[in-house]
Amino acid sequence: MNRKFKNMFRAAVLGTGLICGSVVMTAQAHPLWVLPGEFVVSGDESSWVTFDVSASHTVFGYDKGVGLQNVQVFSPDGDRNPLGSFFKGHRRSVFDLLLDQDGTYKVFAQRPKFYFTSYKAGNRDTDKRMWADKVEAAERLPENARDVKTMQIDMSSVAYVTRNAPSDSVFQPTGKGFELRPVTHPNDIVQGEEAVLEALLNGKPVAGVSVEITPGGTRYRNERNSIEITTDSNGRIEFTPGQAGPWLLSADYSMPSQSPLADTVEAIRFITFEVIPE
Amino acid sequence: MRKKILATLLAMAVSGTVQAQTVTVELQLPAISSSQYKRPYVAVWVEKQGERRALSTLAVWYEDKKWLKDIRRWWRKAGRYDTDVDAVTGATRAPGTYTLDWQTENLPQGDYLICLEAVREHGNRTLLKQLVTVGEGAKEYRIAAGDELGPVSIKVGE
Repeated sequence: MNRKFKNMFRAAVLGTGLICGSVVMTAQAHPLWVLPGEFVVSGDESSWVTFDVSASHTVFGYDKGVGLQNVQVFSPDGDRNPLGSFFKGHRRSVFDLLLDQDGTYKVFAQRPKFYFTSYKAGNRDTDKRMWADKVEAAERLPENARDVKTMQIDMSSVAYVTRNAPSDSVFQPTGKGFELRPVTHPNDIVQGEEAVLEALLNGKPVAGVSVEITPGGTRYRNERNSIEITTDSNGRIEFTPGQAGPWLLSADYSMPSQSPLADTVEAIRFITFEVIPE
Repeated sequence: MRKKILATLLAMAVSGTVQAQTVTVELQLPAISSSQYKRPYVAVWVEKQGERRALSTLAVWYEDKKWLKDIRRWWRKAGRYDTDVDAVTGATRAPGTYTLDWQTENLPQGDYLICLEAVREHGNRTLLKQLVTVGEGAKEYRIAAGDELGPVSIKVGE
């Protein structure tokens, strides 16, 4: 599993040639997304919702199937819910989830953490890289390696679905690391109305985080139409989606690593949400 | 605290509350010729602008709660909170003209948003809105028809 992710990541990075730094690096990783068939369900009976999971650069185009052992479902009452039927294909994975409580569920998918070391070598300062953590890289690096940097990639993706009245218990941050906290309920985002989201580092709002928000269906238009925005001094972004449909939000944050295995941690967070027409 | 109460009382005295005014909403469900025709799900409700939740639901016509969420705006503003709706729910209606009354008793004078939403399986969704002023005597409003709703007439009584 881990290796497969690495391979997929490697293909993406090496395919593009030059790597200048972490920004380019993380930007090359395939965005991971979780797309429910319905974000909102109603009724007195339990409802099944179907989910697609894939990793791709086109927004909601299927590219890489993802292992579902790294999907966790948090229900409104705080319990973990098991998945229903599931399937992992080459280009996407699919699972069913039974919503048997009223309120908002959080569906969380994660890539296993992996490491990437970049350095310069040779008389011409050629950029080089290897899939190795800091300890591993130290053994394999050539003697004249310079500007050695090792990063740990920490990528996860979330979707929120609600049965009947919405709740906010699943928004509670853990207070550890880089997290996104919905301020506007993600199932209440309306075309032409402002929505708000907060970025947190160890539970405190963090300014200057770059966020990109893209409407689905990029394959069928020439412009990506992303909203690019940075968190303000309160750690918040405010944005007004101009079109209805499913959207993908991503936020990247680079921080020093606490581990001897890396210099930095590149945290990449995704949220899938739907924008509803007025 | 006393100051606050006084201020509130003053504000009420200035703005006034509305004494038992009746707002009548007359709507039409158009006859639609389609081999896939099913009666639409319809909701009529009142919002106070700037407030998240609807003030009052006047009618909801549906068959299966599973699809109530498709009356999207009503579901978001009122239906999902399931407050005082049972009294105004009913089965879906055939094409025709229907009249609903809204009693404004004890409401502050001011503007209220009357919303009508109709959504039909294999058909369209129509959302109509009209801001009406209550507490300033009789008024009349008209909303132009949409795909799933005919023209609407709203009368604010004396």
